[in-house]
Amino acid sequence: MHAWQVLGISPVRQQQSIPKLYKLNPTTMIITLDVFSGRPNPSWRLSEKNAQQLLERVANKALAPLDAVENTLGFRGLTVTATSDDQLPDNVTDSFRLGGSFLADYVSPKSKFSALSGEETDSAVSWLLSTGQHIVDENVLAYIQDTLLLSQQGTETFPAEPAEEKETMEDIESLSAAAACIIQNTAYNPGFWNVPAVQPLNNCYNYAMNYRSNTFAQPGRISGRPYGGAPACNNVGAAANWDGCKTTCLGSNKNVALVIWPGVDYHWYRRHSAGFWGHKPGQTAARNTDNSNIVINGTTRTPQNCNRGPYTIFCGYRFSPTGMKVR
Amino acid sequence: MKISRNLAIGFVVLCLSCSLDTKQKPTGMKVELDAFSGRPNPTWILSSSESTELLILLRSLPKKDEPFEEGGLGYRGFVLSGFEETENLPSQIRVYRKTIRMQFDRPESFQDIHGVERRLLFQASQRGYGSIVDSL
Repeated sequence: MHAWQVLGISPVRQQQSIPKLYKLNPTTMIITLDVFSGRPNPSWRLSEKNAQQLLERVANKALAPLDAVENTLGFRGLTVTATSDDQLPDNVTDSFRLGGSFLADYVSPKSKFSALSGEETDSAVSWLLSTGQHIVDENVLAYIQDTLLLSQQGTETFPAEPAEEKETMEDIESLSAAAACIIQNTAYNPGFWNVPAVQPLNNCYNYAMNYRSNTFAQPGRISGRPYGGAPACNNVGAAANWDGCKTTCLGSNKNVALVIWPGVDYHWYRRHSAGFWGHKPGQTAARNTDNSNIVINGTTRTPQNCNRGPYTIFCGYRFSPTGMKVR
Repeated sequence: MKISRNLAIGFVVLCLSCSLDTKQKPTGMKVELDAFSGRPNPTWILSSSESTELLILLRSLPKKDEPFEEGGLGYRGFVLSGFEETENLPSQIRVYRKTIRMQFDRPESFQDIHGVERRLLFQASQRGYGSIVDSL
């Protein structure tokens, strides 16, 4: 049984009845099913046709922001993220949430548009899930179906669905498990690090990965794959990768950057939510300035071009998953 | 007569050897070259003669009013620790850019007029950290 059958969606190919209002790049919309706690949530990319259909569903509606959800275990809705906003209609935000329970104190933003009704939301969620049937486990889909049915308070059938075409092989290839990239850089908080009980025991790697281990953490140590030989981009970077660091963004991450003092040492930076970069040179205090005492503001001054003293090799920017640990 | 002369020579050699042992014997004084960010800083323990020399260089230093620089990435000076209680020194002394900071009840800075930093840089080179020192 196909997922769309589980969800009560007609598999019959129908004539497109909704006029095409928007022209989109086929890679612009990424859907993430917000359901897991330990594993990464499944994400997929909408085809051009489905992205267009989604926009038509939500056009002229007040949409909930990504964080307007109660952090419960289980189904928390779907998040929709556009990878670029240059082709979105004016009244559609580049990211929003569909379904899930709102926070008790959530107040919808002032808008001249009305919010999606419960039926419209459930319908959109069911239809979007059908577009991710190649990614989402069937048991998970069945669980969400039960959840949606319960939320409908006894309504046994879903509202009529818009046309749903079976994906062609070409479409399926283009839907290759692209995972959503969510950058969750945190606020600059040097007070956490610059106290006698913490500062000398934690280094740049602790700071960049935002994990106080009090062990002067080393790349690869927590994963049992410490780097060998003189520090260089490839061995330090690879050891950090074993710990969870990534060269591509997958799921929720923070921005970090790696630089090298050739053959001698390595150093990491972390970007903060205000856009500037912070770092902690060895046992010294965490700071957001470079060796010229100029703020690494993230625009004119970055880890790539700031004064780094002897750390002359810039290895590149990387992604540290939220919750990554080091030792 | 010959026996007593040989005994005397033996005694002198023994004393010299005792003296050399004492000079080379490590003390509790530790030097940390504060330069790294990711890796732990290089450290070494001073021999008795090196400790004695350093303690002499740390005497009678004039005070300095300017604040002590922390330094950023790269060389940030030296941290000395492990002094005997009788030496009346703080638990840690920092040496950087011709300034010596001692943390008593409150931090106090002194001018490095006796070349403590230069002496420590020389020690670092002797111990194989020349590439770090040379990059300064």
